[in-house]
Amino acid sequence: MSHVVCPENASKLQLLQQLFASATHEASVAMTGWTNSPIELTLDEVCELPLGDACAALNVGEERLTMVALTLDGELGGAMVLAFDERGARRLAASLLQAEPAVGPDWSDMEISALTETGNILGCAYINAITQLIDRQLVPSVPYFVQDYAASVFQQALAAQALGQDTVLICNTGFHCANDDLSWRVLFVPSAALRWAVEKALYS
Amino acid sequence: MGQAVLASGTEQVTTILGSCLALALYAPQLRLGMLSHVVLPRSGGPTNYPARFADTAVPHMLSTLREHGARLGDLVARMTGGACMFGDGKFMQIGEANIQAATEALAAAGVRIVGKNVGGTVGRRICFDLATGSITVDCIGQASHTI
Repeated sequence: MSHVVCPENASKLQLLQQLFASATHEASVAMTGWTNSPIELTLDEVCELPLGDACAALNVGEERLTMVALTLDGELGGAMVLAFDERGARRLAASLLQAEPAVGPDWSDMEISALTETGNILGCAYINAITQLIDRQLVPSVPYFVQDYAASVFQQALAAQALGQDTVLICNTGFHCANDDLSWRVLFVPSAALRWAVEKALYS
Repeated sequence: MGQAVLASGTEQVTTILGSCLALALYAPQLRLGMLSHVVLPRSGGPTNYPARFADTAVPHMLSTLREHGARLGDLVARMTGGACMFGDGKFMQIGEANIQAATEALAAAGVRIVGKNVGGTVGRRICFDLATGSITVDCIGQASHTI
């Protein structure tokens, strides 16, 4: 993935990397407990990307993904999108429901519930770590289950940073279970206000 | 996201839309057109990224098309996108706000809208065909629709 790192932003990104690595660890613990499997989340990268290139740089486009999205409402906003390919999503839901993975095109309410709760647990673990740092309340939404073009969903998440900035900050996290890549990904996109609050806390 | 493309003849411009709005202006006699991938409704002032905002995208496109020989009276507009992919708070309003702002900007400029496929809750893959000025809209699980 190509990304823009201006020299004056390099140290900021490094500090953000440390913060979000800590949040990722908390999320790992939560996911391991939730799935009863040794799932490890690794923060692949905190990157700053040109807005116009963000979706291409993240390698999301016309594929249909299964996603769970949460928003942060209020003054310090943002969005988190947990994304799976269909097979990975079905496997996770089946594991949580202790059933065989379904193969039909339609998702049952139980499958959807299992996946959205995963998003809820992961998202709240991530958000709690940030809350502790900035000592400000963050209000996560309920999780939303979405199956659509990945780029369509990511656009809405990125829009919160588009006013007044040409680059967007994205935390790109991968999942691994027993050394297997799960083809899952979580993108955390803070709003400009949240990004500023986090950077201010890191530098204070 | 947030960019505009000028194209003509047999060219086709494709993109994916969620809450963003694709705003196309087309001069049929010249087979010349421009597509802006609008992200937000209003710029709040001067901007270096006119295509990103609905209120600045329209003047920017008109200026560019005039430079390439188009006349205002010959131009028609089509728009698609502006969905709400998730959420019911402020994110719910970005797509709708984009649609409204673009509609207002086109009305202020006196450009007639000849096709719309906007709103809803699904993503769109679109193809703007400069040979005809039409836009083909594909949503997952639905038949193609042309405006």
